[in-house]
Amino acid sequence: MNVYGDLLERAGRRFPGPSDQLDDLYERWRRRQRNRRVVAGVTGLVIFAVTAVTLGSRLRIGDDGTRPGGSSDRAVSAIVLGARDVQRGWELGETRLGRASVTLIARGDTQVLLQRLPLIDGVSRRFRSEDPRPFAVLNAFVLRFGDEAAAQGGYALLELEFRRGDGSATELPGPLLGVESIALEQPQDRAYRAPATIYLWRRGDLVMGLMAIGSLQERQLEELARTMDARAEREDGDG
Amino acid sequence: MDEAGVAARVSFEAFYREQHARLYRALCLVTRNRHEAEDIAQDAFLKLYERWERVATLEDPGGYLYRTAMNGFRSRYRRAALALKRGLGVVAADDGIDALEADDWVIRALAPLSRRQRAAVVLTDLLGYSSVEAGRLLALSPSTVRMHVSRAHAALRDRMGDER
Repeated sequence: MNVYGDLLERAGRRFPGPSDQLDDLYERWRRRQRNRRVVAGVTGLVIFAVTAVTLGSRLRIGDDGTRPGGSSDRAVSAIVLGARDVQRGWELGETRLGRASVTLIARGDTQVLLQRLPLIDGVSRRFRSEDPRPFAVLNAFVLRFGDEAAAQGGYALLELEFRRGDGSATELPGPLLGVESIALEQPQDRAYRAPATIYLWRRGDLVMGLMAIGSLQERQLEELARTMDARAEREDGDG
Repeated sequence: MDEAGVAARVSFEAFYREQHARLYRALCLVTRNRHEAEDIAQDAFLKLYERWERVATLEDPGGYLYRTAMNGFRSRYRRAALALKRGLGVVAADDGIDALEADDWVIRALAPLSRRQRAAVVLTDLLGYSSVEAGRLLALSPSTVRMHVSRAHAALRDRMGDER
């Protein structure tokens, strides 16, 4: 150290020693951690609120109040779901109730897809218990059809068939399936695009559904409902 | 806290005790304000504590500490300059500095220097950094650092002459 260094060293020692202690440092660290958590929480809430508002506005646009036509014994339920790419080989998400035996045929502009998932007993029990929310299973279905299909008011047919583990059809609760809006849980790796509306029919043991992307005209819904009925009758006849 | 956490904490505390007073005194000379020096030192240690697992493995954790402290000093300086423009105060005045100046001619000699000049002379003469290293810490060119140091030396020499 040169002469200036010595002078500075001596001058530095003139200052009273630091008053802060390690405990203060740790306390400060804890405060900082707490603040970060608070900031993260608030940020999360803001993002959630913005997402909810955005989704809400899209869902309102998607569900324009139209319902499929047809006789009153075809109870109709509209379940507004989220969005997910539908591609060949796509995977149906896990349901909250467990896995269900689901046949899903999606007809977008060009795609026809079929997916089956194994059934677990929990699902059957729920149906037998007449739980008014058995179709919460649809929470898992977060589907999206291509932008083009959405832009053109494209649609897809969704058939849901719930079966017991032994393969026999599951008894379903009453015909009214309720009307429910389900908040979308945004998959992180996918951009949310468009809301989908699912209309459900119950025909005996078979629940039939229509999933509409965006808002369908009533005429389209009626046409689709007729298609669905025809399919159901054909299958009843086959059975 | 697990065993590794305890060990890390112990080594951090040893480092803290070893470096704290030295850093604080250097910052006192630079800022001429004990509150500010304490704040900057604490902030720097806090940043190190949060990254201690990585910093502890560095060849020179002390260098990292001084670099962090100098970054803190520079950003504070920017904030202070901004606050000055707005007519706000960001740091409480250090009342004790007058008494220290009266007692110590070196502190008195450093008073008219700019913060950068003080920082340059403290980093090079007291802490032993080269003008290149000090320049990196202060975001100045080495020649600017040398110029600041030279002015600080001149101020000290003048005062030294008076004292003799």
